[in-house]
Amino acid sequence: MHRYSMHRYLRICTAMITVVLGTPLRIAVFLGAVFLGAVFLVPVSLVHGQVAAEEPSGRLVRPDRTAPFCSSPNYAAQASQLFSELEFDDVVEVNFLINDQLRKRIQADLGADYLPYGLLGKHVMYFPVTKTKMPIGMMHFRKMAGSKFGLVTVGWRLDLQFNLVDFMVEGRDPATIEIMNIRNELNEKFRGAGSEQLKSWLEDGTAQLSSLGKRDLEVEHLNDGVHDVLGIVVYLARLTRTSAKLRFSEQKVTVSGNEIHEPSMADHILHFVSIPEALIEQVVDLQKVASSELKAACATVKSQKDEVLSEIHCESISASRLIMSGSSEPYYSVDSRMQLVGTLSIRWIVNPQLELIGVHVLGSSADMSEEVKAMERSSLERHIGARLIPEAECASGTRILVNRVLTLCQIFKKADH
Amino acid sequence: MMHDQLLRQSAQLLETSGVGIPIEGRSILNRTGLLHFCTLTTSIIFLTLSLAMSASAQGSFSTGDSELEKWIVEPKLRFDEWLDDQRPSLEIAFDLSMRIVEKSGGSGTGHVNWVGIDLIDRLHWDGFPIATILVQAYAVEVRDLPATPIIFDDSRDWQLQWRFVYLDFDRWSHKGISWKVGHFQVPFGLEWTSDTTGTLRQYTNAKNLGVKADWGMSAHGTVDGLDYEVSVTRGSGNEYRDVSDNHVFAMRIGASPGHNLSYGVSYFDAQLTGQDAPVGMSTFPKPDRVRYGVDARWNFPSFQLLGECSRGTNDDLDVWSALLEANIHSPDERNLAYLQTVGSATKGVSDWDERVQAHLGVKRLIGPSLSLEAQWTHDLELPGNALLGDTGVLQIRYRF
Repeated sequence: MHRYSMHRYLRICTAMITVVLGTPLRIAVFLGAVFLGAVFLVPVSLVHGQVAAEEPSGRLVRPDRTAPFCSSPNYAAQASQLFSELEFDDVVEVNFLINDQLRKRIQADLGADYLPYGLLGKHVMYFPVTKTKMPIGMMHFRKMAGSKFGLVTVGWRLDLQFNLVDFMVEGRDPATIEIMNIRNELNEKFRGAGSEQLKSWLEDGTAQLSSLGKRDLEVEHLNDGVHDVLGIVVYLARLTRTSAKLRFSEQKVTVSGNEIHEPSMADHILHFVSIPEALIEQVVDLQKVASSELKAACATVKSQKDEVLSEIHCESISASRLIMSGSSEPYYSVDSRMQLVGTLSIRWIVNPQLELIGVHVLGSSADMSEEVKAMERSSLERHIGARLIPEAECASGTRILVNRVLTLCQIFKKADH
Repeated sequence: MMHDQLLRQSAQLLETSGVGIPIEGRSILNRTGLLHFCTLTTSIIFLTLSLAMSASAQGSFSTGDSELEKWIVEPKLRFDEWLDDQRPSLEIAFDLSMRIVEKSGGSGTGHVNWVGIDLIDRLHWDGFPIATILVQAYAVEVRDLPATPIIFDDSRDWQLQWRFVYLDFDRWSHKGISWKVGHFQVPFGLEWTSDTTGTLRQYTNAKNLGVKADWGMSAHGTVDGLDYEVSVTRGSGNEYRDVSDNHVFAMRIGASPGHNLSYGVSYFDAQLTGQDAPVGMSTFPKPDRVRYGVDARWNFPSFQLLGECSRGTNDDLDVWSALLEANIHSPDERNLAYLQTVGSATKGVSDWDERVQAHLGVKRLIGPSLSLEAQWTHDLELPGNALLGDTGVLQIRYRF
C-alpha cells in the first residue's frame, strides 16, 4: 500500500475513534450504546450454551438451520491428531440424526433434566479405518458456547466399546491451549471414569466443573477460564459417549420386523460392539456369508428330523465370518429375529469350537418396551458358553434358538473345511 | 497517555478546521456529519435491539415451536426424517430472505429478495467417502436498489445466482490435501475465514478483487496447523464465461481462525472478463489485477479485532485496500455487533481516488431458523466529487 495513502487511511480511522470518543457527551452516548448492547443484546444469549442446558429440552424440537451448509466443518483431518499412534488408511464418516426420540433416550440415559440446544439434527461420527475397512475407533466433535471467547470445539475419541480414549479442545479461548498442554494427565483420569463419576465432576445439570471435579482432575490450581472450558469437555464426554452408544450399538428395526438398511460402516461397528472386547483387536476382516450359501445351510437345517430345529425362519437370518489374526479358522456372527411383543433383532457370536461366546441385542421394534428388551437380553446372555446339544427336545425357547444358530455355524464350518 | 494524546490531536484538528477534520485540504468529517453518525448509530442499535428483544421475548418464537412455525416447518421436518432414512448423508435446506435498502439523497427504498436451496451430500465409493457435493442455487430479485448490480438487466429484475456449487474430493483431508472443483469462494483475505454468504457483513473481496466466488478448481487442506488453499479459476464470477484469456490465480496460507490469534497471507493474480462489475460499481474498467494481502484476527473476551490490507495493481495503476473491524459477540456467537472501516484507493493521474466507508451492523440469530441483521454505512470519502451519504440495510432471513 502506498505509504502516504495508507497514512491517510489510518488518520481517518484514528479521527473517527477520537471524535466519537472525544467529548464527554459522545463518550456518554458511546458508553450508553455499549451498555445497552451489554444489557440487552449480548446477555439475552450470554453463555447461551451453558444456560440453554438449563432450558427444558422438550421445547426445542428442531435442529439449528441458521448457518449455510458451506460453513459446516469437516473434522476428518483431526484423525491424525487423535489417532496419532495408530495406523489407518482412511476416515469414514457416518451421519446420524439425533431426532426428538433419540434425544429423549439420551436424556433418560444421562439422567439429565436438560440437554444443550444444539443436540438435535445431523451429526457425524468419524471412523478411521484400515485398508480392509476395519475401524480402529471413532471420534465425534461438538461445539458449545464457552464463557467469554465464543464457541469451544471439543472432539472425543472413543474405542469400539465406547470408552473414552483421548480428546482435543480448540477455540479462541487461551484456556484451550492450557488444557491441551495437560491432556495426557487428564486422559488418565478420563479413561477410568464411569458415567456417574463424570456426572459428579459437574454441577447439577450444567457444564460447570464441580469442586469434586476440580479435585479429581487435579486442576484446582488453574484459573477459572480453564475450569470453564474443562467443564465443557467433561459435559461433552458424557453426551458423546451416550449418544454414540445409543446410536451405534443398535440397529433400527421397524414394527414389521425389518432392519432398516444401515451404512456399511455402521454395520461394521455393530459387529465390533457384539464381539467380546478381548477379541476386537484380532479381527482383520468381516466376510458376509453369501446368500446362496446361507440358503443352502438353512435348507439343511430345515430338512433335519428334529422338528424344533427345522422350524427355523431362514428369511430373517444373515451371517458373517470374522477373520481373526490369531486363528486360522473364522469365528461366526449370525443375526436372527425373535418375535415377542414386538420384534427383537439379535446377533450371536460363535467361535470355531462352536461355542456361543456372545449375544447382542441389535435392536427392537418401537412396540417393544425397554423393560421387555432388557429382560430378554438378560435371558439370552445366560446362554453364553453354550455348545450344541443334539436333539434338545426339552430345551427352553431361547435354548432352541441357540441350537439353531450353532447348527447353522456347524454347517458353515464344514463348508470351510 | 495515548488516549490523552489522541484527544488533544482530535481537538486540534477540530479547532484548526473550524468545521471538520482537514485532510489534504478537504474536510471529510464535519460536525453535522459526525452528529448524524452518532445519532444514526444509536438509532440503529436501538431499532435492532427492539426487534431482537421483541422476538426474543416470545419464548415459543425463539425456540421454533410457535403454531405458525409448526405449520410452515412440520412438512419439512417429516421430509427430513424420510430423507435421513433414505440417505443419511444428504441434507437440504430452504433459504428465504428479504433485504430493505435505504440510501440518503431521496433515491427511495430498494429491496433484494431471494429464495434458495442449500444442499449438501457425501459421495461414497466402495464404502469409502470420496467427495462432498454442495449446491447453493438462489433466485434473486432486485427492486429499485440505489446501485443495481450489473448482472441484473434492469432495476427490477431477477437472476439465478450460484453461490457455491462444488465437488470437494476430500477423501485424503486427513493427509492434508483435498481437491475442489466447481463454483467456490476465491481464497483471499479475511473473507476466506468467515461465513459471509447472504449476510450483510462482508469483507473486501467483491470490490477489491472484483470477484468473490468463481468457477474453477483448487487444492486445499491443513498441514502442521496451517490452512492453505490454492485455486485456478475462470475469472467470470457468477456465470462461467470464456472471453479471452480470463483467469484467476489465488492463494491464501494462514493459521487456523479457531485460534486466539490467527493470521494469513494471500496472493491474487487475475485477468477478469471485465463484464461483471462488483456490487456498487457501474463499470469494470480494469480487469487485470494483482494483489498481495495480509490479514489477522485477534480475540479477546467477547471482543474481536480483525484487520486486512492489500496492495497491488489494476492494469498499470497502483491500488490499495484496507479493512479494520472491531466486533462484540455473545459466547454462543448467535449475536454480533460490529464496526468496520473499509478503505480503498486507486492512483489517478495526479492523485489517489479514495473511497472510505464505515459500516456499523448487528446480527442476531433467533431460534433455529430466523436471523435478523441491520447495517448502516456512512461514506467518509468517495472518489471525485461524489456526494457523501448514508445507507441503511435491514435483512430478515429464514432458513429451514
